[in-house]
Amino acid sequence: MGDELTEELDWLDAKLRDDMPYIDDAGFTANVVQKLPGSRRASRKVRGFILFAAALVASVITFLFAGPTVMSAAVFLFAMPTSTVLIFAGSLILLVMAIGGSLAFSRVRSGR
Amino acid sequence: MSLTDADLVARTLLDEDQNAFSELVRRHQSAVRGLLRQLTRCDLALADDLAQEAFIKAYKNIRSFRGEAKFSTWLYRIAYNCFREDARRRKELVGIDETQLEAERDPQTVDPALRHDLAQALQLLPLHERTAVVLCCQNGLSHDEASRVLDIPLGTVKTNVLRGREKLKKALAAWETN
Repeated sequence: MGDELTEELDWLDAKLRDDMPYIDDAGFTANVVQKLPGSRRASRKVRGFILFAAALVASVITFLFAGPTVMSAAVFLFAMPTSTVLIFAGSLILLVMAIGGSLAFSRVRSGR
Repeated sequence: MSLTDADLVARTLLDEDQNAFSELVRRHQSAVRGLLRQLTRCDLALADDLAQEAFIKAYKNIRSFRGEAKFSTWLYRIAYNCFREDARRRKELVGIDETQLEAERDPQTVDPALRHDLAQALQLLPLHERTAVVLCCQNGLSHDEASRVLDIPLGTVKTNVLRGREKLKKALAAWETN
């Protein structure tokens, strides 16, 4: 009885699988890809460019319209020895990296 | 060496590589479209629209694929949900009318070709049995995978497959003896 049932089911399975022919792509994949939303990588590049341009413009405006305090700070900065400037820049980079790292870490934790 | 589905998903995720995703579409389009054709009772245009929608949703939500199940199982689930949403929109997510079922069972309407008969018999099954049979018997999913796709208990899937098969067997009884 059990064998009989298995045989029947196998027969049906075989017929069902035969009834599932391969459907030719016929441009389906191309249509799907065409409708996919644009890559985020491109938008990241654009965002990076906008940030860089904004920083540049802000620096130029600050320099052009700066008061005596900012100008004297700039003159002081240029007058500093190279090693001091490098240490100052390095400290700034480390500070920015630490802030960025902690923000990224908190984002990963909240994402879990 | 060809890449596995998992490799292609990883590439899509890390590099936002649309080529990798298009390879996934190419691999699975036949099965997904076939499933949707059965669910929509061979409405080819609707099935293809839903399949397209399913693949686009899969791309947008690919970060939610955690690799716990096979990519195809995850994809079938999205496709099935697309079908259900569409059916809900059309208010068609109901069982087949029994009188229609009886009318279509009239032996005089039976086509001599087995494939035609089988397709016809499948279309006569209620949606839940048809979906279970198509997923498990045609697409080769295990009962467990089908229960994940359909989001119903494993026992219900087994019952639906069994009942669907029984009905198919009855509908195709004449062919079985040949």
